[in-house]
Amino acid sequence: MSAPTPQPIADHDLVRAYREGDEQAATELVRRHAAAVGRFLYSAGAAPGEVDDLVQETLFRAFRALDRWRRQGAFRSWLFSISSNLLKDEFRKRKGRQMVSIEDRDIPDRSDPAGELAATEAETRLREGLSRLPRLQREVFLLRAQEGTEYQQIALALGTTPGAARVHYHHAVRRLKELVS
Amino acid sequence: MTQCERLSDRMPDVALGRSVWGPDERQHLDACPDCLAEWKLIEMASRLGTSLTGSPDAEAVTASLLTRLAAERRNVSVVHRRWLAAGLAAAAVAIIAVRVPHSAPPGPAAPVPSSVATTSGQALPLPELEDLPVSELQSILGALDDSSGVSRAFDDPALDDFDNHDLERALGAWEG
Repeated sequence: MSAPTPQPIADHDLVRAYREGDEQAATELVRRHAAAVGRFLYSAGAAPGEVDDLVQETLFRAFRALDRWRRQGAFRSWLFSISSNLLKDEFRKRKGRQMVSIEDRDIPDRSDPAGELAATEAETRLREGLSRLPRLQREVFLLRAQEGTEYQQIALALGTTPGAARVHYHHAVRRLKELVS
Repeated sequence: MTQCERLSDRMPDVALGRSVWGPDERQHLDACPDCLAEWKLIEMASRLGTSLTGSPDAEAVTASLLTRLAAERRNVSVVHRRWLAAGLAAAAVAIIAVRVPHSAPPGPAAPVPSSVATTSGQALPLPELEDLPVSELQSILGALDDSSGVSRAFDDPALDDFDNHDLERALGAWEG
């Protein structure tokens, strides 16, 4: 008989531990969520070369405002929401210019150059499409598609209703399908 | 719920590898271009950025994060102290403005510094007070109290011996 697998510490317990002075708890939160935040930012239109800095800034803003995290929403969804605000600020600073760009780092290492190019183009179109979506549609779509988050959780995280979240998702899918296909 | 809606709801889980399509679902996907287009979109979105973002060095990221947070806490503390000092200075100016008219001598000869108060009792702008610590502000208030003692010279019993002519001469001398 195997020993029971220990349950991972919940995010809210890590947040509490950090606020009580446990810096390792902060490290664990970063370990759990930094990569996902990076993917979210990249998917939402951040330039690849700026993703790391934006992740840092997102985490900084989040840790500075931990008091404001409402526990009914998932910690990661809250981080995405902060990322989205941050990205909006960055877009505004650039006066509406989108950050989507094709750089060397974007191109995956595939053996089929033609397929590689097509995939990259499709991904770029998807990122451009995502960056043009209204904010709620983009957040709902990415929470569903990249995290598999249920509408109930999305609604809690984004301050909307599960029904509205579902509607936002379907609007996003419809618009993105037009752009990508 | 239609088959299309059911598939749509399951797409993220299948794309993230948490579930797999059943034979019926696979068949529907092959036959329904709308669902197939959505499936390709969700599949692509679920992979977006995976080739780009590796796992960041959590220790390094956290160390940098905590350093920034500590630096900001220090800055906030300094700003709070400055605001407190400014508030105290403003309060001291208000106290001076209220107290000086009552303690000023009736004549213009009292040696109250012109930079502190006017004979009309109006407070003057005193930016130099804003940087002073509380102890120094209290010391200034003490000095003002002492200076108001000049007015007590008019209550000096020795003046009782003066006649009108002497009093007028004394006043003339004070007024220069």
